[in-house]
Amino acid sequence: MGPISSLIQMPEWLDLLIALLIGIGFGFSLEQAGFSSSRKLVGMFYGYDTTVIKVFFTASIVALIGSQLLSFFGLLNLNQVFVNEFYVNASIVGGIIMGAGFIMGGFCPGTGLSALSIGKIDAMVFFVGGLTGAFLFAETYPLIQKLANGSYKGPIKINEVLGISPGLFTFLLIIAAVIMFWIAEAAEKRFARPDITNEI
Amino acid sequence: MNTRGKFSAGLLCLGFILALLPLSANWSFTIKPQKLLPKVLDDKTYFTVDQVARFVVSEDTTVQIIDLRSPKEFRAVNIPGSINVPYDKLLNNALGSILSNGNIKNIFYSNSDFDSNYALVIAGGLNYKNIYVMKGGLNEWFNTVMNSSFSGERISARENALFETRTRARKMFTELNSLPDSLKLKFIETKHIASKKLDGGCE
Amino acid sequence: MKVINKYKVIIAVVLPILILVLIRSFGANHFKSDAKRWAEPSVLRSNIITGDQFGTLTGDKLIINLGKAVSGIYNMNIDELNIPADSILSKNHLKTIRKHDGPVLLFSSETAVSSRIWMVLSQMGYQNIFILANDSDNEVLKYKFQPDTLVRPEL
Repeated sequence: MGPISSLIQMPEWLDLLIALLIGIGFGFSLEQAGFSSSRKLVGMFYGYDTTVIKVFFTASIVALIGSQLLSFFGLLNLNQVFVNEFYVNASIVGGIIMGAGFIMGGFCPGTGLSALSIGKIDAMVFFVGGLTGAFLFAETYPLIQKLANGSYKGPIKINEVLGISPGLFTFLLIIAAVIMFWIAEAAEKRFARPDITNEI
Repeated sequence: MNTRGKFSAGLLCLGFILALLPLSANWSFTIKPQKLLPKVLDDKTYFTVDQVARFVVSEDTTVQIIDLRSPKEFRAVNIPGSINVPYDKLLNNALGSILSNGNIKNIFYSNSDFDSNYALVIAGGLNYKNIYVMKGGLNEWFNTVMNSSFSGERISARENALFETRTRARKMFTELNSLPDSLKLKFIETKHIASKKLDGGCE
Repeated sequence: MKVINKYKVIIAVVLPILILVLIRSFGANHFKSDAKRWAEPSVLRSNIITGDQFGTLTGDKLIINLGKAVSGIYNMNIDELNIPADSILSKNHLKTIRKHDGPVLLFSSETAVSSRIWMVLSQMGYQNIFILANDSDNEVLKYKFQPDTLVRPEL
């Protein structure tokens, strides 16, 4: 557990145990939110069920506020938190593939795992597809290397690009999230599909 | 107000507080001042130039000597076996890659006693252990190791040991720093440590 | 009263955080964030003052002697306080430094000690603190190295 273990020295087994407990918590909350159901997940695309955006936006904002406050109180060293490296082209192409796959398959990697754990067969097939995709990527890497590594921007953060403080960025993101919540509510009324939503 | 409204209001309040805070993305000290002060005033954090000379002469691998001066000054003259981390680069968060090995004694030095001691406080503030300063810096090294001599007819055993170490250190220092720039650069390159990148992430 | 009751959950979450944040912002006994910014004068070397540079400092000067006793070195109308280095972080001493309106000069017989205390105080957010150094004490190499051009060691 990177940033916290820099404050207190923890033995490795404790690190891994904490990771395990966090994983259990994650799977548990996905399942109780109903994300094992592919009909609930694609409801985000068709508009009749916007739970996904509410849950994920809430989760990221709580994490953002929490980490900023912990960093302010000196309990978390944000420089030790991993930031994804940004490859522009790869992100766009990968995002399109992932989005198409999500709608078609009805799962994304995390929710696919939680559906798999309750025994859904379509999740198992989805997973085989995912592993195949990863395998294909590795095998064809020399051909797509240029695309995968193009437009490298490094591990940058949005607030760095905009030149604003992390706190201000958090506030703006919260405003965007609140607007999204309201739009989501409106969409659910507009695109309601009671025949589906009553079953899931 | 329904749940959604209350929840959003709460989030907006917290976000507003955060927006007003002087949050910075830059690194800062992680331990408390009361904890840092005794470490900073500990006499054991100093090595004398003679002690460093002994490390240099015995090519002690449990020791890493770090030169905080500019690259130009480092190329002109430096202590054999030392690596160059300019002080201003150190402030740009370069410490992680150099001080990563917890078993090695890291000894900072500069020309005098300013930069090396600033660096020690900074490393201590980031909770690194095993950090030391060569007291007096390179000026003291020249004064004691390079230029000193023993006078009088008799010298004690201890003085003799000092004399031997100083002579050998003097020789090594002169040999390394007398190399023409190209050879010296190659010799120093072999001691260069590449910086580590944070690796990880998955989805 | 009814209003508070309606929003009690929000208040219960936001208020404690607000209080903690305020305490932390106005508290004096911790290191500030953005260490590089507070260390800036050390890079520019603007934090080192020698005896003859006294005149360049405006305002009431205060010398803090970090050693065992008052040195009495600089006796011309300048206040000198003796604060042993290990007690510099006590509440009273920090209050003295904070309340002093003018440059504060740290003095020690060992430059190493005053440099270290300077960095600690600067990182806590204290500005207008300087190191009082001897005239010849600075980060300049005083010796010229004579290379021995005949030497060719084994590489």
